[in-house]
Amino acid sequence: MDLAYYALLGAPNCGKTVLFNGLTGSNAKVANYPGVTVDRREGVFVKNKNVRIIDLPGTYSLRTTSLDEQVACDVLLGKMGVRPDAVIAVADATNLRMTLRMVLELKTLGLPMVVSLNLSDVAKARGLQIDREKLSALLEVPVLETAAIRKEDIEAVCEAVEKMPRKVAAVLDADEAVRRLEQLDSQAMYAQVESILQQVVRHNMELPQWHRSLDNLVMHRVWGLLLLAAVLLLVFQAVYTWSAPLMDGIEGAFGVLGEWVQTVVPAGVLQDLLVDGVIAGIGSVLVFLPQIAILFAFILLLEDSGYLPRAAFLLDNLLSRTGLSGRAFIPLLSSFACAVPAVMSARTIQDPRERLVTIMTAPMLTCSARLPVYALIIAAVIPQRTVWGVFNLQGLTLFGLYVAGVVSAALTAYVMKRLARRNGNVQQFPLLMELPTFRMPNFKHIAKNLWEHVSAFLKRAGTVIFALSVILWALTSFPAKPAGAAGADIDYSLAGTIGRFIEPLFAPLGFTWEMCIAMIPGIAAREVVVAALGTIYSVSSDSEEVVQNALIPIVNNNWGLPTAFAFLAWYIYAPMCMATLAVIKRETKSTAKTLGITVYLFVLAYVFAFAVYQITSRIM
Amino acid sequence: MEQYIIVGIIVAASIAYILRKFVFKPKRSSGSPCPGCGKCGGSSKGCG
Repeated sequence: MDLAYYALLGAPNCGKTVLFNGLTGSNAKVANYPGVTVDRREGVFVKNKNVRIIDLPGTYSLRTTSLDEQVACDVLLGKMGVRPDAVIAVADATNLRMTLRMVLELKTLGLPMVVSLNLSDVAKARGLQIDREKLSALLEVPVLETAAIRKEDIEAVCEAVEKMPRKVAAVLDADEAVRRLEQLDSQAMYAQVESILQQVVRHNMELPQWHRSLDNLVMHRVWGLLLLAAVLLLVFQAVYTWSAPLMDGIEGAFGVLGEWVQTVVPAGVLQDLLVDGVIAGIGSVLVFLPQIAILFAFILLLEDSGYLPRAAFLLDNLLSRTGLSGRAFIPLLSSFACAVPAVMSARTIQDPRERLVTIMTAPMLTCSARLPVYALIIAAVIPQRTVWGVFNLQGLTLFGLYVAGVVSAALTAYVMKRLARRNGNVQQFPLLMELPTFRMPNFKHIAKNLWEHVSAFLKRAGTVIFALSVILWALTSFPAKPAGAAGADIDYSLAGTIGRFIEPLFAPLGFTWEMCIAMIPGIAAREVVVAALGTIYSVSSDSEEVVQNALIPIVNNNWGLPTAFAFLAWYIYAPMCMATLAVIKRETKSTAKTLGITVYLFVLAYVFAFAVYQITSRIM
Repeated sequence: MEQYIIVGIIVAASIAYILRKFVFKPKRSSGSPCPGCGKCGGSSKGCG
């Protein structure tokens, strides 16, 4: 049977993806700011498996200006993937003006359509009254009042979807549709929008006083910046303070597991693999799960409340001095979770130069995979003590590392701007972004999203990290030391040979051969470095000792402070993981640019780690 | 000897997994719905 395709289209941040999740049972990322969806996403309709729902990036018009909006337009016109048979136009009831123009544009394409007036609950709560029946009559399409987070409203949209035509022959071909869209008179359309609004909006919405006061505070150029700094500082303090008991528990559990394996599995190569390879490797990474979970919980909370776009506006002035704009803030912010969605989010940036610079600098911001590396070294070399009465020194150091990433990215963007200015290639686009209203975060949605992140991390630990730990254990264990030979077993292994071959390159940075070996699997995913160090140090020493001693004290005993600081400096800039490289290649469509970005990050990492090692080893 | 065989199988499976994951990536069948992973950049014509 032929499949039917229905596209969800609407202005940014009007709740299309929440509706998509409700209609398909998916769990795609949603947040309270525009530009979260930058790509076409497809799901199976929960009521009929022969119907597919397509979620599209938000756009205010079908005459597009950025790459993400172009995706929406191309899908709708059938230039990308299968042409939709009908459209579910999602409008933000609190800001109908911004969507109506697009609904009118859609009507010129002749596609069957239903309009979902989303966020109707918020609109009503703020005194806005929209005559739904009148709007339906004027637009000549069914109009539903919805709040996509409510089950009964999702059900109403499902019913409307079921009534939509299954297969519709193309009314217009793509070229004809583009021609018609280009012929539309913007002034006449705006006049039509205003006329419709006058007829359907009974009472205008007013923001409550608390909302306006809060906006005045968070957008204030002094208090707003101080508040932003305080929020970020609080996040990093919480990452350290709250996670400690959970981390101790996980570390203890892996210790017990290792001892138990030693009692039930006979001594031999299998026991070595399980204890030194799997438990030491995976345990070293999983111990940092509580810190990652706390960091993500804060990011999700800030995303859902509507605070982040305001931070983008606040930083627009600062970012513009580096040649970026507030528009780059959301992609750069996504980098704190992972560089892959950050590189993709750069599609929302209109200026190609600014987009490329955002892609180039996004990997410098600390992604969650780097957190275990930072946390391991901080825990090993920075004392656990309180400074200035309230601050945890380890939390402050972590905050400093995040700031170092941000400052490095800003400086790099500034240098790029100066270089571009020399070639006369700098355009500054003003930041135009619709600010969402503040709202109480949806804790169910935050918990669901947090679980997505945690389960993805656990899945990676059980698959990639497990497999790489096993391979690394094999490389560190074979070939075995010849009978009667002196020195440690690992010195004769394949990993030992490779490590000593690479070591001279990194010796000026103070890196040992064990660190060099650990960095290789780290190219697959950065946190694997920690698992690899766990395996290498576990194989190097007596198994019993390793089970009792976690990785943190081993690093503390084996690395000097200059080496530890140089390793931290390396990981601020270190060439990104394979997934990031792949997405940069895809987004830039250029092997030369991808190679260029890899090389410049490698050189920066090398130079900074060298400088940190040489300076600190002379001071200490 | 048994331990060596088991370890050999685990190591070989791990190598095969990593190669499949990072070097020889399997192509998605054209009949399955798009999971929205973004790996195709939205350019896949085969979704559905």
